[in-house]
Amino acid sequence: MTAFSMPLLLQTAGLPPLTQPAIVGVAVVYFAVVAAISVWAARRTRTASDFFVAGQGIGLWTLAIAAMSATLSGFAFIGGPGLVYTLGVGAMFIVLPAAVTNSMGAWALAKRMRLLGEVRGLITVPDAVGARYRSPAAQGLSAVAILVAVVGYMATNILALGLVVDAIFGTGLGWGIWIGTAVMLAYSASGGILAGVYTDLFQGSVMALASVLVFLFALQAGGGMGGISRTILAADPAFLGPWGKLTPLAALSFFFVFGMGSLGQPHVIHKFYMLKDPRRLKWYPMLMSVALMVTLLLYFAVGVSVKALVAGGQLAPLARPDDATPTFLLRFTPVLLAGFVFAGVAAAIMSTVNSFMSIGAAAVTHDIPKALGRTVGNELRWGRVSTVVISVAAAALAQASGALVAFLGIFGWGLFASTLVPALAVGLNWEGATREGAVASIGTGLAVTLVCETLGYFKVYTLPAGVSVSALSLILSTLVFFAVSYLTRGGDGARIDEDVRVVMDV
Amino acid sequence: MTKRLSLAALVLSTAAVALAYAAAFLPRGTPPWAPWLLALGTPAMMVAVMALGAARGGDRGGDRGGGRRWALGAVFALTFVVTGGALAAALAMPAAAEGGAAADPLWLGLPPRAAVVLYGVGLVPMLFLPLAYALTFDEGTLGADDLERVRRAREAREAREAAAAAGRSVPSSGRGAPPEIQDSAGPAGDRHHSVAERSERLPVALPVAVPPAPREAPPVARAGERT
Repeated sequence: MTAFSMPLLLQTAGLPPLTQPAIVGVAVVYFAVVAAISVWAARRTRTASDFFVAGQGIGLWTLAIAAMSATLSGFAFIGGPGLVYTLGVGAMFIVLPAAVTNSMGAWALAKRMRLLGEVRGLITVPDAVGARYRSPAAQGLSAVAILVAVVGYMATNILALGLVVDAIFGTGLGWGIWIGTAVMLAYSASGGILAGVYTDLFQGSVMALASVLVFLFALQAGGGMGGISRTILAADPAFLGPWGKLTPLAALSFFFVFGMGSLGQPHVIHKFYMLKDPRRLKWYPMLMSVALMVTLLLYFAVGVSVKALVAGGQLAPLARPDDATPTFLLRFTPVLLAGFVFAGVAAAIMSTVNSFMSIGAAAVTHDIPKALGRTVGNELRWGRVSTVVISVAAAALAQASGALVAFLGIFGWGLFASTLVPALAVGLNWEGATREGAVASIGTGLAVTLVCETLGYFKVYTLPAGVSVSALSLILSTLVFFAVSYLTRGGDGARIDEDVRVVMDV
Repeated sequence: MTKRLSLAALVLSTAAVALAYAAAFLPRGTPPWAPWLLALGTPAMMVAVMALGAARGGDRGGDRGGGRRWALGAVFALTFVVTGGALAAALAMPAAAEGGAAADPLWLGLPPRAAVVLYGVGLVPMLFLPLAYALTFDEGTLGADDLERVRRAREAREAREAAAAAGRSVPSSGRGAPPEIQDSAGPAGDRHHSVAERSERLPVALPVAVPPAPREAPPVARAGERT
């Protein structure tokens, strides 16, 4: 059995060289389209509202595809299939909750976040925390948690993008990191989230189409799903057991962390503010679920297909699990499709990083100053400056130390989840939640995640098998939220502004 | 009542998941019942959060609201049965089927226990949950009257802010009073700003025209004060 460890989810190793004219050509076309979209968006970005929430003017399809693109990083295309190749069905517990999470997010968050934007003109996720609890402290604390997680997440994704750029163009990792960062900065700093969501729409379409095509090739290469299963069962039956190579507790931990934790991912939640007409949310779960399922076909199919090909002797065992996708594409698909998928990998990474840039910049220029009782004069200008500063810091981090990147990268998901799920996803739906409960819960999530991940990383203390820091911090912050809210009920911290109460009532 | 039930379910399922994790710290290792708690507790948490989000304030009674509640209750119960049942089945079904028997029957191309998990948890809820959301949306999630109510709440807040900026007396509390706006605050507490001030600083233009505060207007309430 394999231990459940968040570093398994990080892409820090290089890819096989992909420098072929067709692949380079597809990548160049892809970057040109992104550049064209960014020029168009930059011309339409005139206010901080345009920069941070796309002027609250996007449609449903754009929202759903952009949310899907932001949800899936390069992990879905490279690390994920590698994890399936290693862990078998156990790795699927990361993506299985997606059948429920989009509807869950719609019921618990989408409507209320969008309506809060309607009544208050909010532009950030911590804004919603501040408005719900009438608490700058809660807003500031959640912004700090987001900022810490964002820098780590961005560094890991920028490192992964550097690896992809290096593999396609042969630039070397250092130049790959800075070229990738420069491209993302060019559209993020100029066009903000407006550029982000429309490049996400393009990138998401690329990812979905690439995934479907690869899925079909993977099934064909393995002899259909039945053929793949029989080949694997003959060689390694545990791989196709219900928990794969994981223990039941570890697999179910994935399900818990990625199921409940999905309610606390600010780069997705933030997009609810951007929808032009709140009543278009009606079909959001349907579109988002279908888009996500289609795009995740590659995740499963490549992992099991490569396993079957190795088990059947058609492929040599992989040196590293992350080689699963590149090896499969270069051996079993037309080179143009391979180029398309590698563009899709870059797309997945860039769409995720762009969202992080936006929420990180908003935390610096909007939320933290607000929590300190200050305001920033020109949020559009300072938003652009913050985007550049955060991105350069993350890129420098990515280049300086792979170990540090791995350390910071493991904070992300758990930190988001433990600090935002109770305070926001539960608090926006429960009038009994109090300001003290929210602050204590966010503080607990922040402290438990940082302390436990640090102790674990330096091997001072290791959690029992099957227990992850993300799960522990999420469950503890939720319990603290309920307990402190109960103990402080009836106090001033339980008051809710009338307009916010209306949003919680409808 | 629905909200209270959902909240109770959420607290109980959270406790169950916490207990499952706490059990993993026992010196003799994870007891066999811990995965069962996690397998049933996590779907219960997810369903409880959905039900909590779907529950409305007490202003929507009547038969139509009742019908919607029953329909959604059935959908949420089905979600729990399908996801929790699939995970429980994977724990309960004998592993012998995968014991190297490559000739055993497959369910839609997968060994039975894997099929139960992948299709039961990862696919089946997707077939009805988003549809249930869409079909109950107009009546139960966000109708035109709901939007109107939200917009009235916004206008009431803005009116109160404008009145405060103009120095007029306005009710400060109670259901009839326009709501307060909390904005930046120092450590001592909330600061209140006029709409005119907010409209200068807010990145989102306010949707209605707001008259600027006259120069001779008395100072707007500041930190620690109540209008």
